[in-house]
Amino acid sequence: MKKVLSVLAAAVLLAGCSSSSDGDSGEALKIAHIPKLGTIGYFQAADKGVQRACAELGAECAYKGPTEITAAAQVKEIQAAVQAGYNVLIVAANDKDALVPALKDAMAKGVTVVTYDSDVAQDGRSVFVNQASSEGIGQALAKSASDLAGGAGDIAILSTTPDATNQNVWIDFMKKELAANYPNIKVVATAYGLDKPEESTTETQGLIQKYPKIKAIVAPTSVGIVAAAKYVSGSASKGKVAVTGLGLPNDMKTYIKDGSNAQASLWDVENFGYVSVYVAKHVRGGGDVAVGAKVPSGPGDKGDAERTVTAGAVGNEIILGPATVFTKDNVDEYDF
Amino acid sequence: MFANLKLSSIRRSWDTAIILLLALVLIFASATTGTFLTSTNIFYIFSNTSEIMIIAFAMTFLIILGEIDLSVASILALSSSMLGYSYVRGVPIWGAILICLATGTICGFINGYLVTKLGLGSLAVTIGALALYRGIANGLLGENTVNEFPSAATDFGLKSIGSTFMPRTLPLILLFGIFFALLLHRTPFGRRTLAIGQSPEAAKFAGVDVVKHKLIVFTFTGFMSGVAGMVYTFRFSTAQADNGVGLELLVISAILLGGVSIFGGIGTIWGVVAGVLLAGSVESWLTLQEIEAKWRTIVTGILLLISVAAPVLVQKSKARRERMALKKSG
Amino acid sequence: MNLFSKLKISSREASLAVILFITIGVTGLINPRFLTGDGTKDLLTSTSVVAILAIGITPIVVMRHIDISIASTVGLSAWVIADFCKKNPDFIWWQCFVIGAIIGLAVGVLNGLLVAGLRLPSLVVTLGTLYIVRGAVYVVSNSIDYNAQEMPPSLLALGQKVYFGILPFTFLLVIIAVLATAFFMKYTKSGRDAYAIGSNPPAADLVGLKVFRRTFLAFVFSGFMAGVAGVFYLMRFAQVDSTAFYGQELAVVAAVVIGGVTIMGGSGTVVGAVIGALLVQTIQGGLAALGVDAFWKPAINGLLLIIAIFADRRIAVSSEKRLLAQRIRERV
Repeated sequence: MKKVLSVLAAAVLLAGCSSSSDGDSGEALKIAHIPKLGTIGYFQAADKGVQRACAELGAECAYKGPTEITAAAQVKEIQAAVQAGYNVLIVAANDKDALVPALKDAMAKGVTVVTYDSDVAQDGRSVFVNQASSEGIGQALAKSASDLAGGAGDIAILSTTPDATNQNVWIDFMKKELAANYPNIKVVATAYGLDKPEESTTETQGLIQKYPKIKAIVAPTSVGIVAAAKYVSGSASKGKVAVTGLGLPNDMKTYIKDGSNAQASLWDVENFGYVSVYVAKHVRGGGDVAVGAKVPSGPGDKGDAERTVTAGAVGNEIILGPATVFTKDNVDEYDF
Repeated sequence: MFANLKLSSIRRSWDTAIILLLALVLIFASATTGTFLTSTNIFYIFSNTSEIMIIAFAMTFLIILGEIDLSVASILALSSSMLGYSYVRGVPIWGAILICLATGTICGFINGYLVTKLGLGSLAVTIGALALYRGIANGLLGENTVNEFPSAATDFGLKSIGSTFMPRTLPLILLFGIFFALLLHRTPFGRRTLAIGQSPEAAKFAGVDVVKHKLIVFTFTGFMSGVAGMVYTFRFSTAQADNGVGLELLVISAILLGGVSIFGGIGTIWGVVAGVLLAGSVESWLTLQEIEAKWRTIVTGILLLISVAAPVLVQKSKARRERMALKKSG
Repeated sequence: MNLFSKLKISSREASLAVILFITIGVTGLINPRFLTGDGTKDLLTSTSVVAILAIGITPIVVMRHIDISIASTVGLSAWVIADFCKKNPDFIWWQCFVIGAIIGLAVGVLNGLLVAGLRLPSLVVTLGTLYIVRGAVYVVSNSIDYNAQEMPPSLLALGQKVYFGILPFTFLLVIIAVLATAFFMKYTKSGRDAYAIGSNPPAADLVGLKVFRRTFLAFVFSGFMAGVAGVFYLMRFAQVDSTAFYGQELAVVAAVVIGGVTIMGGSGTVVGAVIGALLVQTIQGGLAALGVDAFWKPAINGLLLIIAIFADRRIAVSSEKRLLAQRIRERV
């Protein structure tokens, strides 16, 4: 009892110290950054960008990552952020539908909601900041797979969960691109590794056992691609089965360089967080985010200083830019 | 035997202690956080704990019996999926709700059958069932989640009664709470539950049909998981296979926090209600204090340890004091 | 009595082995590549982490306790080892084992003191430490991930090492551990005490068995094995973040229980537990190798788990009956 009280008391003190002053005149921006999961490097990298932008704007920013990838955990964070007086939420959604009621509720209370990384239904947010156009990601995946497979042959896909919206869209575009421009490449199977190293490895083994002739595995997930590359690099398939997909350069460096015939692509995650903050500021200031509108994306944006709102799969979105492909020639230039 | 009796009386007083602890947390939290005791926040606490509370009512009986059901969160997901699956195929919403509840009941019955009639250990077999039910939900819906429900249904899950702190689901939960409290504490069925938990052999010799009794409890645990599935579906306005992932451990922690003995035979509904609300309030308070989620994980664990260690430590110190007193007088 | 229980135990493992071979055989018939050297190597590699954990918790389960904090311990061990390796680039593999073991032992001592010292229910205690230890990983890691380029090459090389074309280094360690533990459980007084304590804890207390010491040591052992499993995790995935091995505790419990270790204590062996782990992994690997429809795979996996539990129970019951009948005949 005493113990819990002292822990709680310490926690109060900690929290007391962290609330800082507001900079701007007029309404101060108070931003809650709510990623899918707080405890992994990808979103930590995005938060670096968020914090950089917040520092420039003199805004108060908090990183409110849940410890479970569930909608229920995010809903609690959203509710608490609204109660704590945050006026902007930047959310990477764990579920496209389940967060909508909570987000609508927040918007009804005058809070600005911008999604990034993974979207919700259109009436749950003002605008979605997309990492790259889904079509572009599909094309990049198709090109990389074809390059690694030598322009012809069977390939397989290792995705996350079967109902992951992002991945399903990317895979669709990739298949369309393959059918249109790489007729000799055939997708023989799609497996699902649930974004866990254990399942992803087992599924990779299964793919290679079931389809011994595949020349490449495409994993549009940062967990799946590492698991697949690790397995292949230590198996008899090394050099025969190539691995590509979406992954962090640091995670993939070893396999890109060890002769496993691996590649990875990804957008600039930190810039992603940075731009999201400026977009949110624009929305908060009453700026237009209808399709065709121009949105200033901050002085530090590594792309353009201004971005255009386009019509995406769900609704209005701002596309960050093409993904970078990491190969053995350039991977050492990146560190994230 | 004597020591046992004493321990159980202390465990019983732990229920009161947990209610006191809850009151203390509420007072402390509202004193330190202005936004804690607002009707919005109370509404959030009630609605965020609603599924846990609903399942906990029934699972309390199971744990008192000395059994466990780890598949409850998967039953929630499957019945939620069945609700959505049947609704998009033209079944009227009340029919879909009936299907949802029936699904839960059937899953519970299957668990009970596997445990009681086939004699499989409940911990083991419900791990299998956990994978099975969520798996069926997965296969059933595929990548199509259902998110269009009549607004009357989603309002039921989302909104409050008027502008009060009470979610519209609260009367339903209260009703179930009263029902299960009476069932456990005021009926022969409840007494049999406690008796079986204390000693299955003795209960058997006393003429209790243990197998049938357990089967009934497993079945209504399934039913309540179905009810939770319905509430979850309407609260998040989505039916999908990964609804409620990992909820089973939260339910079990809340029950244990509420003073139910994992060895069976001891437990009260009001203790469990206090346990659920305590866990929910502490989490809410920490979130409002902007304590990061990673620290909250640790607090959850410490709370659980306290819930089991406190009664034992209290008893030990009492025994020591008695011994000291004896020594002095002697 | 002694002979009876011995026969019962060995027949349980035999029944499991039969189920395992049937599963492997059926999968192999449909997809022969499952049985090749690479297939076997993959199966053994994949099983290593769960198998070492299963060996670790078997004595606990035999003593009518449980330890579900192990998955969190694996995460803590793996992350801290990676952190040490990153900060000391000249670390070599055995130092990783030392760090992992120390972390595992620390968690084990904590669990042991709470369960054996205060006599608290192990399910609740280890559920509590599951949260606390996982929370500790979140806090110390501060969301930093480590990947292959930050691991000691000697450790990763060892993770790739294969003997006779099919036996990975990690599974070799599993075999050594299972032999040592099986010997200990069967031929030492402490080991036999474990069965006595699990069969009837109050009686064990009354006849003066050292219940505290045995229980405490069992939890320390389980923590130790979880720490070692953290090294295995790094060798297998060459990557770690704060969610490593999250939620896998039930997979280990499933393996142990399918392996014939009764959750009510008093019976079961580490050999059975390892066979159980192999069976669970064979089912998963088999479903992947057969290319079963992704949406239905979890359901089939769950169904097969239940069937395996059921089949094992059936065989155990019938062999028990047969042995009982035999004993009665001998008496008459």
